[in-house]
Amino acid sequence: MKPEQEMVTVYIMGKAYQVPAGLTIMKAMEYAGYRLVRGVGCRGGFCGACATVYRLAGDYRLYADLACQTTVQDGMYIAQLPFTPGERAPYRLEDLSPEENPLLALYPEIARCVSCNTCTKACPQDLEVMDYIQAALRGDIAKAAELSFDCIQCGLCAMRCPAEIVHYHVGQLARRLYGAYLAPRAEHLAKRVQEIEQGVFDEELDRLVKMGREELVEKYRARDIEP
Amino acid sequence: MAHELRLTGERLTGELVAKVEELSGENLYACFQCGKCSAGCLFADHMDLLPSQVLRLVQLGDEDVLSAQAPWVCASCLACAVRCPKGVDIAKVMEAIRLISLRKGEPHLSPRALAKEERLPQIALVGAFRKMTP
Amino acid sequence: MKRIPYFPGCGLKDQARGFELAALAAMERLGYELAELPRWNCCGTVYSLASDDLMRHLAPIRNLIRVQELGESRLVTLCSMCFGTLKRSAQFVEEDSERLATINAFMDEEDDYQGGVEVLHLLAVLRDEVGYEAIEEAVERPLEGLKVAPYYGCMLLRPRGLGVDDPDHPRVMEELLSALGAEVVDHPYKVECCGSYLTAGRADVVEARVAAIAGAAVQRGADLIATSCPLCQFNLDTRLSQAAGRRGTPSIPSVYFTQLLALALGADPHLGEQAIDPRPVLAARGFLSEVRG
Repeated sequence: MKPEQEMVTVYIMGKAYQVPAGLTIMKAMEYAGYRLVRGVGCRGGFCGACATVYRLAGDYRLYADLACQTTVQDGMYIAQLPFTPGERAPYRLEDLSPEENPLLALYPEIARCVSCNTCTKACPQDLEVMDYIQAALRGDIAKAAELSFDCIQCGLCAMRCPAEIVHYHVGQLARRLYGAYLAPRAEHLAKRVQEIEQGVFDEELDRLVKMGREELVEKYRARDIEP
Repeated sequence: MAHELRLTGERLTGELVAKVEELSGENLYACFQCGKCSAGCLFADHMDLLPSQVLRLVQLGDEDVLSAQAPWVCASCLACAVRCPKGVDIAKVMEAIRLISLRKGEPHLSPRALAKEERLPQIALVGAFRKMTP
Repeated sequence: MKRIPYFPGCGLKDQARGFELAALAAMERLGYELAELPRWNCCGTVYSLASDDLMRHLAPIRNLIRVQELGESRLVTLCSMCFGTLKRSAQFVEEDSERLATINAFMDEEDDYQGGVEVLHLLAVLRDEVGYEAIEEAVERPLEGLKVAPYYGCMLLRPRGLGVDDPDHPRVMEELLSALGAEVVDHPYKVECCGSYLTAGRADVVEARVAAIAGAAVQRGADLIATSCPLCQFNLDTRLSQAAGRRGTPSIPSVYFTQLLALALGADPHLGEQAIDPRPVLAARGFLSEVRG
């Protein structure tokens, strides 16, 4: 680093460090000498491993974000959450029935939601977390799946929830239920698989397999390209 | 639940009375023990203390009331509240006693165990969890 | 068509769907659209009876903010528990601006709740706004010969002054049922609690309660009990059926008042699966074949 580079002071687990401005929290921690074993993953904002909470100087709020996606600020107080404890309820998807609100049956604590919206405020993905928990409570699996679609399971919602809900497991089950039972089936796919099984394409495939190189190149060049 | 209690001035001005009055917002000493709440309580059959007895123990500053089962059998139906000739909302007193326990983190219902048994309406779960889980 | 913002509550999207669907269908016949509140959340079911438990008021007040966002000042509910919680929380912040300020400060992502939203129960709308005369005129299929025991439960009536009617001598359900042509069966347990949320964990207590309530209705010759709350309904249906099996308690079906309203107005009553099926008695009295055809 060039000596004239602008530096900021951050407090990592309570200890002050001078780090270059513009670093992400994750890089600032590594710059300060931390070797991250837990709480680090893809470094691209997708895996959800680097949940971090922080406060800013002169601000009462407790912010929650991903360490790999958040730039340090002068006076930032940082604590990394290496792991979020949260038990995934045991279930076999094929044994569940979407009509019987398995979300509430397996995670009955969602009925403890007080609608404080703290989960939503904590979500680094800007999801409407409270809304999907509320949808789950009333048995609206499709809505819960839709609203939780971009969840990366970082666990910040669960760590902030006064009702001790583990939101991300609820959302995950909602999406699985949606996929297994509610998403419209692709009819054309089923039809095509049936055609393949009936041998409709056997002859064409045989021809392709036996085709010489030149003819194959010619066919390839002349292929239909969907707009 | 007959038992002995050494009455002292400290009990009457002690923490229990103050805490229940603060949480409930009710004047406990307005109660003159007429028993109308107990007579009309639909759940008294299942209680270890009658509602009027719960109130009496709180008046006397008797901490034993905190381990009574009665507040957990109260369904907050407010029959007592509309009957009290002195305008004491005893349902709020029951709530205060529940909260003293809940705010220490003591659970009185297990959500996961309950949900395993049968499918209950949301309204039952939300209500019961709010009243009985910390 | 008049439009009123409407709060369904969780149960009405699940096991109490018939309560809602019958209400929507019946109100449409009366010229009203119950317009579901956007982004509503669970009301919290039980009103917090503690003086300092502001957290428990977030859920109801957040719903009132949704009403405010629509530029509306009224919210109608069907479920008695939702009604009680929303109405009392509205009152709780109305009577103390400091409480409201604290709640608003906490919900910093929302516009401040300004107060003034009126929470109504559909029974009150039917009485005060639609009017029994208009209802009588709209009746296509009078419920003549059907003996109905109204059951109010708690939150529709208590505490005094906040309920839809006099907590000791309510008339609103009787008057509605009479307007529909039904024969009202009075009974002493109509305002006595069914056991409410004790059904979670203390089914034994609830079974004793509903056995008493049902027994009183049956003894006085009722065909049906009319309810206004999915929790009363669950207790009077599922829990009663469980009690009846064991103790020889009289069995009587319960339906939501909106289902009777819909039936009388010639709309679909949306009677669904119940532990104690109301359809046989309705069919025996000649009320089902026409509607279902």
